[in-house]
Amino acid sequence: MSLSRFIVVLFLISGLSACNNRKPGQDTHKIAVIISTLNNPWFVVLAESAADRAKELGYETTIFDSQNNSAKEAEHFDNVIAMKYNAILFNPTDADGSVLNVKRAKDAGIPTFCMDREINSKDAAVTQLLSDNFTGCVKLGQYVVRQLNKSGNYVEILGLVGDNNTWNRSNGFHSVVDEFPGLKMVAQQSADFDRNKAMDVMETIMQAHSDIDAVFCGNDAMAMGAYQAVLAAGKTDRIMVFGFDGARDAVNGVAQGKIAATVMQFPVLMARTSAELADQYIQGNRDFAGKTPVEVILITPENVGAFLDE
Amino acid sequence: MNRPLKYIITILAVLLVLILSLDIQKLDEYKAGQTVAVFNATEYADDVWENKLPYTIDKAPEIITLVDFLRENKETAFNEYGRKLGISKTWYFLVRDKGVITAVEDEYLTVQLSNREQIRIATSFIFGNAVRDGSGVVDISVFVNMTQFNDVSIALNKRVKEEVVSYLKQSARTGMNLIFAGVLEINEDASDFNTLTVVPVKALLMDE
Repeated sequence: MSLSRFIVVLFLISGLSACNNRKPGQDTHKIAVIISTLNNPWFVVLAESAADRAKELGYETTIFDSQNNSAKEAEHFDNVIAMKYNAILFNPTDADGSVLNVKRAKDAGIPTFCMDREINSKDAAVTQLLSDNFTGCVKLGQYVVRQLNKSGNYVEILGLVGDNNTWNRSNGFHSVVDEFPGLKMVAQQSADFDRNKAMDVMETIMQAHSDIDAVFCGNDAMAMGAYQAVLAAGKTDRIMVFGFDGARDAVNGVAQGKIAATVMQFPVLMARTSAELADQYIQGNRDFAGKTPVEVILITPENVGAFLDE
Repeated sequence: MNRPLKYIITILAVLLVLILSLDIQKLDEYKAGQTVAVFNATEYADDVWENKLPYTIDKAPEIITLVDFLRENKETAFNEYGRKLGISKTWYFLVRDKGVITAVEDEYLTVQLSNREQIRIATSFIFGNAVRDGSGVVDISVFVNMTQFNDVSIALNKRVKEEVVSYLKQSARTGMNLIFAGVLEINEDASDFNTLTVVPVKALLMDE
């Protein structure tokens, strides 16, 4: 081989590695929406609101469903990185497990904006918009204490144990109720934020404990499932059901006296704001708060009227 | 140059490029580097309570001044004296003042200020983020996750209950003078500033 050919080979080798350094999305304007699951209407609203706002801002948008599966989520990140999206609007499956995916995207030059669920990292994502679950459940906890007159037996049905929201809500709730020795938790079990699982869990718990006054569920889907179990057992006049999300059926349930209270989140606001922040980033802005809590509102029979048409 | 030698040199060049682009590290070393120190919310809250809060209290407005300002120009008063977290309509105001205890209830004291208006000092249901977010010295961006951030609220509320509320519950009587500092929680849609409740962070009782 001549010297000139040898130099060409070296240039080819260096050229191949330089291809990986090309900035993502230089010739495209695409935003990926990666959602933990589309099997829950709440997350469908989150995904579609984010995608719609991104489209309004002029981006081509794709929704990726992780099906609550971290391997599926990693696959979506692989595809988004390979296809060189401009930004990711992300609803994680796992607060710890999802960090690596976000870091991979960051290393590939793709900014990530977390919606609703957080990852355990201060700097992997550009920013994280999160409902203030803890404070919402502090408010709910105080309401439960007053409704039970500081005394009674209650059940707690938790969401997905790998989701920080599960523990932020539980911790907020317990930061209040645990201060009242007259209130006793007779059972605590996860139903994975799933309505049917919650119904089964509540049925089983009611068989073991006949003297339950309330059940606190980490989301409204589980609250509706728990309510079904309470209804089937003929105990709706005895057991109060509390939820979290402010889902349409639960809010209606509060108005109808089926659900004692819930806490309303604002997924449309979070999703739209995430898309707008992504757009600002793409336009050159780099000044973002690491975390932005979004206030939630306690919905009780006293104020539910103002929320029935939302 | 003979062909085999050229091929060897080319292969070596490719290998050199590959090796230089890899960073090989022992797994144990990598894991050790990833270790995150365990967060101690109590220590953090103690530092806020003992070393930072006293300084911000010194700069806090009197309740009388704040309420007059709120009635005159609510938006400016919120922006000048209030603090809020993220996207929210709830604002927190660190305040201080003094007055006379006119009633001792189960969940609060009623205190009459020098302008004869009455406020409440909470002595029960000390929950939430008033102290953390009203203090102005706790920065959310330094926490890895919301659990750590919220644990600070719990720890600060514990200090309030153990040091201030227990003192008031034990010793407060109608007619006593009270010098206090604390945090007000006010919704930005509020228009009535007549019955405000302060979460106390400092209190000193004196006989009439």
